[in-house]
Amino acid sequence: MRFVQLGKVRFLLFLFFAWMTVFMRLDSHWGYAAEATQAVQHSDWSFTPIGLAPVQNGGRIKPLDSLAREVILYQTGSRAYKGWNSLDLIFSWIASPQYWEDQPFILVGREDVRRQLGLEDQRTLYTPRELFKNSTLLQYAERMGKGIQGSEPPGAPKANPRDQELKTVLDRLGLFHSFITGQGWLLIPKPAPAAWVSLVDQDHEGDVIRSQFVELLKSYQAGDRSQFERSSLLLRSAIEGEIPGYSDDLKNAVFAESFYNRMRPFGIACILYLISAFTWSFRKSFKKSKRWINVLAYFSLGLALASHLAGIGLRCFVAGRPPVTNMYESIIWVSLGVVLFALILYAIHRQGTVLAVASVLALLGLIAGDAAPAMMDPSLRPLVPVLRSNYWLTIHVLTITLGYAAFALTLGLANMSLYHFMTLSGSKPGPVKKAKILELNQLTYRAMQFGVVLIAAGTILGGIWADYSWGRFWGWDPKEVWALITLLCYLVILHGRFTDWMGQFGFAALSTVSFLSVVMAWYGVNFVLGAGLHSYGFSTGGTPWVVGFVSVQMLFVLVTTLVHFRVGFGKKKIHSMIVQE
Amino acid sequence: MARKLHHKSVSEKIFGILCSLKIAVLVILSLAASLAAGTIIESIYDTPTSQYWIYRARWFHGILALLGVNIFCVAMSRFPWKKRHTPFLLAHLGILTLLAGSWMTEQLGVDGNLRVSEGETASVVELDTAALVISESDQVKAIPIPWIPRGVPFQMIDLAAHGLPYDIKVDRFLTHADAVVSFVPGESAPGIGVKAAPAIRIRIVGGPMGISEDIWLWEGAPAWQTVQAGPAQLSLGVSEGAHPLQNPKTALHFTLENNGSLSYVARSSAGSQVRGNLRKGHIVGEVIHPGWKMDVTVTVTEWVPRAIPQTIYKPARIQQGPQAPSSAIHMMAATTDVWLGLGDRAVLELNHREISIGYYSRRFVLPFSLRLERFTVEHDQGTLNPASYASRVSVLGSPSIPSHSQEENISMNEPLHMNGYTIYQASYEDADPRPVTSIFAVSRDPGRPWKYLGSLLIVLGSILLFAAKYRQKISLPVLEA
Repeated sequence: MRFVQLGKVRFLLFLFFAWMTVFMRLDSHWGYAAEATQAVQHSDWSFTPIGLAPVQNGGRIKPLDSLAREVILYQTGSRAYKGWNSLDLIFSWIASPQYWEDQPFILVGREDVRRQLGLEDQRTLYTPRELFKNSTLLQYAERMGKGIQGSEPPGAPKANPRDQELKTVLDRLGLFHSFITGQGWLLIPKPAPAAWVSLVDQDHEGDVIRSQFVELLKSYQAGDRSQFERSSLLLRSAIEGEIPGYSDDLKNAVFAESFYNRMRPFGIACILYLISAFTWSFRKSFKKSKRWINVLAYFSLGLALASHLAGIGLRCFVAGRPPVTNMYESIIWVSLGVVLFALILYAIHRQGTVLAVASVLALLGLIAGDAAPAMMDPSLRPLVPVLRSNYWLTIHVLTITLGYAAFALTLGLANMSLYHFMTLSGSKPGPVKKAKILELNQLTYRAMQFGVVLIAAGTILGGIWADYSWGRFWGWDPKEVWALITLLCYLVILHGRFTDWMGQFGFAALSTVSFLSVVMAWYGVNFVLGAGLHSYGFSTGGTPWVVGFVSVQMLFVLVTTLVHFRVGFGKKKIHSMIVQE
Repeated sequence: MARKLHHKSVSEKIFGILCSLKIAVLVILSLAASLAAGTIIESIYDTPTSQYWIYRARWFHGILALLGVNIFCVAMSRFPWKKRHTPFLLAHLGILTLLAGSWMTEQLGVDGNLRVSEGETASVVELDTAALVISESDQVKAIPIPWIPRGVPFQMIDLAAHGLPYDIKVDRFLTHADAVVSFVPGESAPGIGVKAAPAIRIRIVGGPMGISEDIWLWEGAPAWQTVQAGPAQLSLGVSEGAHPLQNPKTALHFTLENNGSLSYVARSSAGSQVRGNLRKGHIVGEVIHPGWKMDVTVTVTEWVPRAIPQTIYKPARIQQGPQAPSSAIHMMAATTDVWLGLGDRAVLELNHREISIGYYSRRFVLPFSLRLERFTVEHDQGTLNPASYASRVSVLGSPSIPSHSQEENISMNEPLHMNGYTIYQASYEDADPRPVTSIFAVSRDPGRPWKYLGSLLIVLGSILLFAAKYRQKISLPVLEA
């Protein structure tokens, strides 16, 4: 994630420049000079009007609100900084730069980088002054300014993560600097392929916008709320008026994006899924007011689903493309898929457990998407050329990710089954418990069938897309291969069930273990292997989380296996209930 | 089943084993395991290495074949087929069809790259395999050279074993090789356009890092007449007039005088100029002080009045990734030996016969040619990220449109279909100033219909299979409790 496309050589310049401006007085040549040395939050102000102002960033036009949120996320690694509204915060930067130089808000995420820079290790956030004064960082910037010319070719060897982090820290400093000097405010529109112009650029066409912006900042600094809101509207319409060919469609997309930012539909869905998970799990335990619990169960799930769908719909509308082009989007989409499959299974089998399991999975998925924004970039970005306007791609990716969703549900149900196996009392497992297990395995099997059909179809559709786009149906590309391995792993279970190698317990245990292949196909190829043609999806990060998840899952399987075989409730007793033929 | 087996004949037993479910499970498992290994090898090394060890290995094809046999036997074991077998048969025969289609692609298909610069016409498609092309007068023969990863011993290739009357052996193969050029005494070789010319080797000592550097200068080709060494420009020419010391501030120019001496003129950034002359017979070993900063000295270490270039290859510094250079081979003939990098050609004299040997990528010629009229890239607004790129091409001399040319657009995801070939926009090489080179992937795939049919059958079959199971199951009592 990089905001300022700083030419590598410009790094040096900016650092020297930054050095001077930050420690002397911020002088401005575009008509505004910061004076405030204090900053106050304006938590009762409305930043919505200014948040709706369109800006060009990252290859598209977006509301200023999105830019501010992305900037704060990039700088601090989290969505909010000490309760500041992100727009309030970036205005405060430019209004009181001296104050912010001494506030710790720049993330240095890696512990080894902090050690290398000799920073005190108790914190992850540092002040710009601390970093500007850091001679190790400056030396690094100097080396980088000399060493690298041009951009790295595609498929170049992966930069080592520590270097990457150092670059990112420099980039964060540069971004902050560009915001306090006015360079980062690219508010003056230019015709489409060209880059918009910043406040400090010498460009007279933007004088109206520039003076509006100065007015806005003055009212901000004076703490004049009503004047600020008035100026916001004026500035916004000044910018909108300057954008060549600014249509209603674009305007609607900007509004929708801002609405999406403010509503946080996936956050709402999280809370509702939590309620849904509880009510569907313990629905049967309630003796009284059963009716109300049922109503609550249906409503919470329905509303969660609605909110989830609305969020995905809004993203599609804003981006004008299907919602599965990066890790964040795919995890959101897969969570939705899990709930959809659960609803289908519920419609057929009338087992509330499915919905409980699905609610928990969707909740975990959305939390994972939300909790690690630094790893899973939630911002909307343009696609690389090969992924654009392609019918087969859309079908292929949606199908294969729905396959992941079905396997995620399989995993959840199989885990439930394992849990019941573990809690079986050794001497005499009751028939109810046995029935429960059989029922869960039956559902697991159903979910797996959905997954196998979808992953087979999705892999084949991937072949069709590859044939259409790259000229070959199958090229042993790692992403293709892992999709195939996933399919094969589940086929082993489906066929193995007919041999006498696998009982009910083995079925449940292998159904969870096979999910490792999904983890590999989904996450591992892009984040760990990092080879092949799907390089547009490559990224780093999150490995400890994924390793943690895999370890916990494996530990659970191991524990249940040990308990199961010690207890001695074996395949003989409840074998072949779901084995047909 | 086991109890009945001893009543059966051997062939029935074999059939029984081949169509057993346990074999199927084992085959699927071993396939999954080898595929996983393949992706890990690709991640650690590179794509060709993983292809060599796994995807194109014989044993891997063996597993696929076993899978095919297994599926075939299972399908036959249900014979005579009934209606309820349909989903099962569709899914499994679909896999067979897909495997057969893939096999056809591998045997009969072609897949290569076509590079065209703007304004140019091309029809030669380069494949990713290499061959040794041997020609004598009008006889031409190509011998494939297998690609092997670093560290794998190379099986010597004897040209005599390929029915050629030469005592030439290819005895070494470097997967990624760097060329090292030196100049040796020799005579002109008109066959490959080499003419003998004077060469000097000079050593520069000093400089900012206090290191020494060896540099060859050769009059035979412009690229060797002037060489840049750090801030200094070194050149060798017949007369100074050919290389006036104009632009570079730091320069050293050598001139071969008619009396056999070597004169030089050095210029420094401070503006000083030093002239001198190395007498015939004393050219090598004399120290020149060109008056550059940090007391840099220059010494002529070798002097070859009639020199030709000799290229040898050594294992490349970069052995992985897209920057790794291509391969090179070493050949032994009766009296001589020669290194050839990919794309190089040499002329050997054996028994007074001139034989030309080239080490080239294999290629084929399309039945038509493409002229790149214009290449365009669009960017995401305000960034340098390409949003799309497209080539405007003219198709010339196609058998289906013989007399006139036809203009077509080829862009990302919008290939051109022509005479059974499909031409895709693969990538491009930017050049400033233009022309840009557009790189197309060209393929012909006779297995395609079979692969598509197989895919369709698999998807259809597995949906029906599970639908059938669903009906079956729901009609049964779900629980005993």
